[in-house]
Amino acid sequence: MKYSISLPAVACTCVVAVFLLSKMEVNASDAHSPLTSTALEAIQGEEFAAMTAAPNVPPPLTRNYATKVVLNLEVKEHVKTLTDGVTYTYWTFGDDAPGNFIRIREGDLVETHFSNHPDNTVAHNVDFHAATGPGGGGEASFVAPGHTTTFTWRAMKPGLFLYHCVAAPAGLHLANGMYGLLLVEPKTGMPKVDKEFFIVQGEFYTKGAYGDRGQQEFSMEKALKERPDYIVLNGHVGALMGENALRVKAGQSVRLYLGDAGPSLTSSFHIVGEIFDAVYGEGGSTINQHNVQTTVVPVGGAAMVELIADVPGDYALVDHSMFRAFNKGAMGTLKVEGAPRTELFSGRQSEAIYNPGTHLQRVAAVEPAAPITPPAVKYSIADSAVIEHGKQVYATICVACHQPDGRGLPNIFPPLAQSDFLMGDKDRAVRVLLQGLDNEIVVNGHKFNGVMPKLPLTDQDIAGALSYVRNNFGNSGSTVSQSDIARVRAASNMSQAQVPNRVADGT
Amino acid sequence: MRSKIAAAWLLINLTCNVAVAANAAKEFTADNIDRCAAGAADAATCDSDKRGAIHIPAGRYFSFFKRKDGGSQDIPVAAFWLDIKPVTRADYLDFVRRRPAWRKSQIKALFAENNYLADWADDLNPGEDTQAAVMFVSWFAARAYCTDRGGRLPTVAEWERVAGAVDNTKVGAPDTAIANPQSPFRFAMGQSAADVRSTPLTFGSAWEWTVDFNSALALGATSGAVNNSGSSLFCGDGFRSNNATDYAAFLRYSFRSSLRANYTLKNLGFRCAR
Repeated sequence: MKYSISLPAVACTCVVAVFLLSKMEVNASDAHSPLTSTALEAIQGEEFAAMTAAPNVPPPLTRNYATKVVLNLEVKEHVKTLTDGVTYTYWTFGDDAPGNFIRIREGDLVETHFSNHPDNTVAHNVDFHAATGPGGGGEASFVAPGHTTTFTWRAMKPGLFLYHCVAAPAGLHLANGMYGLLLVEPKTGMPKVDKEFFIVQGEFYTKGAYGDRGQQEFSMEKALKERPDYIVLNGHVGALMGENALRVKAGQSVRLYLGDAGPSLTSSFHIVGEIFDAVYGEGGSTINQHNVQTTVVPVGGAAMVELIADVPGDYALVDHSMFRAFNKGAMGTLKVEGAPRTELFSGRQSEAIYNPGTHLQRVAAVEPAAPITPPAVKYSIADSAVIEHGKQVYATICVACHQPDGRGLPNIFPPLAQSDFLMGDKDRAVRVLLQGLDNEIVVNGHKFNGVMPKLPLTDQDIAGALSYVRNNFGNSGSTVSQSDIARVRAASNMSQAQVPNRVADGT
Repeated sequence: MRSKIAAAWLLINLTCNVAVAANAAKEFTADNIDRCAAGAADAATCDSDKRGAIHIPAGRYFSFFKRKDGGSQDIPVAAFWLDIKPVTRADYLDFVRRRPAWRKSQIKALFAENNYLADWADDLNPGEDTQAAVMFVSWFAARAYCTDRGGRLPTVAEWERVAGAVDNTKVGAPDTAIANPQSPFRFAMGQSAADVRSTPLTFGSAWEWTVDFNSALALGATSGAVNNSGSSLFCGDGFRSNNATDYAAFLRYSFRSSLRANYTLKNLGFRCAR
């Protein structure tokens, strides 16, 4: 704020500015002292801003000088998929939420061309947290549909910064998807890593509950209460899952650029099974902590984390406020590919029955209403009894993933309700329960790539659970008997011994 | 508010020198208004018709902005007449036939951006759907059209009374602002005040000009800059509004604030009042 040269002057009369600025170069060692002004570098040349769509990050800059960066940002209002079967009218910088990742260098002069598409319905603007100046450019860029504004700002401070729309009402513009990340590389560049990605957490406040089908409207009521039904990474449920998982090779160094657009909820970013070797707290320019399990990403803020992907496997990226991850969408996958590193992590080495006896009896005494112990009957029971037993099995075991309504979770756990996979092949369903499932399947046209473990179920449990789910959640099909299970087992050359007895049987 | 409008009118008349034509269309004649307002049951002129206006009785508009002077937030709105539908391309074609100065090729640059009537093939060819609402018209052009018909553009208060007013007396009752779920503007349109809710007015296909669109600026910035109405709406800050839950109103005021009188937008038409 102390410089005598105004930004427009720099933008418009570059030659003069270079001359004047070069005279202003002073004491570069003060560059990172927070209470002294940094000298402005001379601007050399001009180029378009490096930008990439989520989750990718432009490659490191190779410039060792400041330049004029021309940044074109266009706002679109368009219907996009929030999760399977659910659409929402997104407002986005560029084509999607989050907007493109923008990579510039400390000292760059950013000539921002901000365009509000003619088809849009409301006024928009942009606030760069990386900019120093009133509103971060909010007022300077505020513009009607079908118009464009230009303003120029100087990237004086290195770090990772959010940009977002701040037009009234700002919370709504954020909740509709108007946010992105901008990295100001320090003059010395960022330390080299093998892979870089970016993730922005954001919330959607829909009139309907999570998963309610069709086009969803914004709910001001939920926004005021700060109770979103969707809390997502990179704008959509499943944006970082399945085919969209982040992929790295074992041994590679990885840097994640994290942002939280909110508009309400702070993120506790965690990777299940990983430790951050280094954290640039709050997205500042310094590594301020090592060996961190979970880092806070404040609303309207950022963080950078670095890790070495030592052990191959799938790692869940979550907001560790866990219901957000498992029930509202704040989940992704980091897929580390490579040879096993058993010296670091063995995986499961053995499994055996654990039966201390008395403990389970005590549990049963405390909660008599949870009849998970199957009836000790050796004869075939009537279908209704089979289904009733299956209902209990479902309520105690299956429900955790497939959900009380049998609809699963989009992109994570496949639905049982009106599931072509379940209803189309009864024997296959039996095999899944006998053996577990560990490959890609397609359910109602959607791919699922998770693992369903082999569960400690008796034949009676399996018959009951399958009979129940095939006659519930809108399904109607034949029941499954214990003889069906025996037949499938024989056809698959499975021995009885491969099916563990359930602990609760006490056998 | 009233003095500001008058001042704006005066300013515009002085600086722009727009010809005021008194060639009133029949539905807006003063005689008819007085007669119908007095209760005449003449279906041809008093009731809504295909091309007509409707009488909006005197009532109140509960201000969206807090008044700094501590005066009542409840603003009286005098009786007026309002077009049932936005002005169509056919209507506008009739206007430019008679007023060549407002044709696409003739309009002065001061009065409209260069995409004025951008979806018209030429001066007298508005395209196929002549019953569609006319778009790409500036405030100057809209105002001239209404003047030509012996009317005017509605004020913000009038427009809000019939199309934007959620019940702002019930602060904390959000999500009441959606009247037309089929419209792309459904999120931003409100509903009429209770006493005019049963009117056949149609809203929601596009934004509409108001005569004093720029009298209350909802800046999109955080600078705290104060505009000519004394309110900045810091990021749409709730504390200067009477109902921070009425996000649709924030969008309307924000949109109006982004306009200049020569703007010609794809989604901005108008209707006339009297």
